[in-house]
Order: sequence, then C-alpha cells, then structure tokens
Amino acid sequence: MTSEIIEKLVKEFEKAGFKVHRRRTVSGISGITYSFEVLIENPKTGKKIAITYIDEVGFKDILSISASRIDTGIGHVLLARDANPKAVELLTRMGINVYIVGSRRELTTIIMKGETTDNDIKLIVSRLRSTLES
Amino acid sequence: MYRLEYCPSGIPGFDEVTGGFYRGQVILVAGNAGSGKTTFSAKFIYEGARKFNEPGIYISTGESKREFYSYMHDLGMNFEEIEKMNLFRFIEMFSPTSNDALMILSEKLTANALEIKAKRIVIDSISPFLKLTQAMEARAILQNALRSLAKTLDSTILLTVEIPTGETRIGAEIEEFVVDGVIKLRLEVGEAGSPRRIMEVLKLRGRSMGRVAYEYEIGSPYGIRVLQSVGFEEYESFINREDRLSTGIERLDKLLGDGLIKGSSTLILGPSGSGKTLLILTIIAENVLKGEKALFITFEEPKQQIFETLKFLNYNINELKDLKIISINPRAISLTKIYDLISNFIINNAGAILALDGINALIREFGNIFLKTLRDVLVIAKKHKVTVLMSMLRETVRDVVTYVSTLADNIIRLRIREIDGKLIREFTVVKARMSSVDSTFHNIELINGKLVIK
Repeated sequence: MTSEIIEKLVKEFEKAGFKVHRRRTVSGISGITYSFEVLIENPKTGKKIAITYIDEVGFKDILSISASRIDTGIGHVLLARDANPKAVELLTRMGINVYIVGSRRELTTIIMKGETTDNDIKLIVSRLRSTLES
Repeated sequence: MYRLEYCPSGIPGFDEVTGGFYRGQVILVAGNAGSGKTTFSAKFIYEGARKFNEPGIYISTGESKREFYSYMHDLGMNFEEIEKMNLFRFIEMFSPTSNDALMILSEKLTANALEIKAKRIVIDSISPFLKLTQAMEARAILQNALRSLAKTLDSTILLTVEIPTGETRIGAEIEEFVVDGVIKLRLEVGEAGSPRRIMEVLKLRGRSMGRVAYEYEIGSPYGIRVLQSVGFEEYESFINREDRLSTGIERLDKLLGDGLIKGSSTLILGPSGSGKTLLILTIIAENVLKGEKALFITFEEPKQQIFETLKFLNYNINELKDLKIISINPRAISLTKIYDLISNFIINNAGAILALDGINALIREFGNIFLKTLRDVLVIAKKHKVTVLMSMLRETVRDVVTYVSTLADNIIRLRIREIDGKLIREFTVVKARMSSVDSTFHNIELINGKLVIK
C-alpha cells in the first residue's frame, strides 16, 4: 500500500512539472549522507522537498528527522501509517509535516477518512506544491 | 524591534558578570572530571524552578536519581521538593552505547520536555554519545536538532562535555562553533594559595564579552557561585574630613587630628610584639561598643586567640555582637576569594570598619600580586565609606613595600626600644592625609588592659 501511495504521489508531481528523484542521497553540512525515498525538486527554483516513509512516527524519531532537515537544508515530509499525536504536534512546530496514510485518524495535521484516496494524494500534492513554489 | 527573551541562569554571581543566557540557546559546559559541570547544570535547573517557576528536565548518563538527589541535597538543592511541585524530572540514561541510543535520547528528551513544558533542559553528559559508532550522526543531531528543539520549545539547553584529564582542548570538536555559548570549568593549582576553580566564558552569543575568566566556588548552601571579580571599580569617594571616628584612645585621636576620617585607610606597622594587633582590636572594640559594625580578619592567628586578646583587653565578647572575626590561612585561599569575602562585607556594611591583621602573611604567600587586590579592596572601601585598618610586620616605613604606604591614607609606626634593661613600646604617626602630623615618638603602655599613650 505504501509503495502504491508513493507511486501515486510521484505521478502527480511529475504531472505538475516537478522533477522527481528516487532513492536519492544528500550530503549535509556536517558531512553525513542522508538517503531519501523520494526527493521532489522545483526545476525553476531548485527548491526541494524530501519525502520519507516511516511506519510509526514517535518521539524517538524527532531528533534525527529534525537534524537531517537542518543539516541538509531540505524541507521534510513524513508519510506514516501511524503516529503519536503529541510527537506529530512537536514535529509540526519544528516545521516538519506528517501525513498519515494508514487507518488511524487522530492527527491534527491532515485527517483522512478511510483509506488514502486519490483526493488525499491530491491534497498532499497541492500542499507540497505551495511549499515548493513559495 | 525583536528582542530575545532573557534567561537568567540563577547561579549567584554568574548573571551579574556575564549577563546570563537567552531562551532558545544551547550552551556547552565543558570541564575535566570534578570541575563542577553537574553542579553548574543542576543549579541552573534548580534555581529556574525555585526562583522563576520554570519546569526543567535533567538527563543524566552518569548518576542515578538517588545519587544526584543526595549529592545536590548536600549542596543545598532539594530536588525532591521541586519534583513534587511538578517542576522537575530526572531521567536516568545510563551507558548510552547501543546503536539506538540516539533514538532513546530523542524519546526521553522530547516526550518529557513536551509533557512538563520544560523551559530548562540539561543533558549531562553528551560525551558518551560522541563515542558511539555513529559519532558523526550524534554530533549532527546534538548540534542541529537540539538547537531546533530549544527554539521550538522556547527553552534553554545545557550540554555538558568531558575534557579528559590532562587535556585543555574541548573534545567535542565542531559543536563549539555551533552552540550559542561555551563555558569551560577547570581547576588551577598554583604555587600560592589554595587551588582555584576557574570558569572561562569562551563564547556567549548576544553578550559583548571577550574571553573572560572568573573564579567560582562549590559548596553548601549555595551550590555553586561566581566570586566577585576585582578591578572594575572606579575611583570614587564620599569621604568628608569632618566625619571622623574616635580610636578610643584620646591621645591618638589628637595626634591624628581628631580621630580617623571615616572611609580612610590606615597602615599600622611595627616589629613583632610592638602592639599592632592590640591597637587595632582596641580601635575596633571601642567603635563596636558605640554601635559600629566591624570585620576583623587575621591572617596569622587563630580566631580563638583573637577572642582571648579581646578578653585580655578587658572587653566582654558578648557586648561585641557586631564584631565578626575571621581567621584565614593564606595557604588555603585564593586572592579572588579574599576579595570576594571582603567586598561582600563592604557592599553590605557601608560605613563599617574593616581590619586586615598581618597582611605581610599575604605578601609572603602571593608576592606583589596581592598589592593589586589590596588596591581594589581600598578602592571599594572608600566608595562605601568603610574605614580600613591594616597591620604589617615591618621595622621601618622604608622597609614597607612602597606601594602599600602610597595606598594608605595614614601610617602609624610602632617600635620597641630597650632602655635601662626595659622594653619600651613607642609609636608615631608618620602620615595622616588631610590632617597635620606630629611625627614625634610617644610611649604607649598597657595599663589595666587598656592602651594608654603618654
């Protein structure tokens, strides 16, 4: 299901004229190399957003995700099947968006009803587009 | 205009000399084992809760909760109390050596910080994380994520790091340039005086300061405190030559032009047994009986001996409540600590009398560096109108270190002469600023426990 959602996202971004890099590694200022499932790039501005899938987002992930975002200077989006709402709240305050693509529905960021639909995908894409184009 | 919110450390003396921290800052506290990193960090958390009602969390990689609470209790910090008030959480995180150590740190730190709305966070220490196999990743996390977290939570984070014994370089490498502040604690063992605890503030963003070193001490009940620094006082005086205090010895008052000018400094010098201490104690005791406050510091005799001398001079100790007597062994103290002790007395007791008995012992221990401290003491004393009496073991004025005699407003010289097989004590006023001087020698005798000048 996860790969299906990611494929749909990739397709939508490509359709909108964005460059999509798959399984791309990026070096941070510290010299550490980070690998991302999907990296979306605005070809006009060069602005990028990294999309990472984490099965279950919790407090344990906050420091490493936040560190890679600052170290690489690339905006981060997390797709997760499940998440601790408080951890998501903190990540959001730290500038990292989390989208739940599973069945749990208690999050404050995006609440999707039922299974992730094409409309949900479009909603994610539209939000990320506005970030990439800002 | 956007202004950062001030975050006072709460550590006595630290905010006064450095200006303190700001919210959202990450501060590195580095030092050798035993230098006081844990006490510094604990005090930051404790006073944050106690004085400013700010919740704090303390992540310890080395001490158990029980050990930490017990050690800090001995230093005057009751962590159980602030924990009960839901203003504190202690988190044990022993031996973070496994690969998931950073994830565990993330979980414990962020979940607890969010839950109690922590405004102050300590990780003591980050050294074990920097030794992990993924040390580079640990550095990136500690540098980047913690800064981001501090800003998001509007908290101030203190990280401690070990400097291996014998090394002076901070082993944490690049983070020194990324953090907002670097404070280095060290123990300096010099040839003179006691070992000194030195706090170097190498960096503090938002504060206009160079590389500055301060002396600090650790103990109960204050935990940790930065000592008063010397040399920042401007020359300022509120002396009025009409405002005088009696020495309690009528003839001496006359010779000095109607007593000592309040806020002046007087050097009493003479050989051993000439009566320097007796003269100082008489002046002090007579004034304390009239309601003045006084501090008598002896650098050569035990405190009990001074009490006995006062009794010998027929003074009732119980009537001298406002006389504080301290005995200091120059081998067991630093010059900054001496300045701190004296300047605190002066600032809090304007118009009082201060006696420094046996300053030659300080010159013997510290050499001429002591004279700089003495100058600072006399400058601050004059500013607060504190009358200073100093005694020094010297035969003649020429013998005296020129500097001391220049600093003193008055110089009284005592001598002992043998006449017809009898030892005769004599004294003269060598110098009396703002007064005329009669420089002839006069006999001084002890009659019925009282000094009498003939």
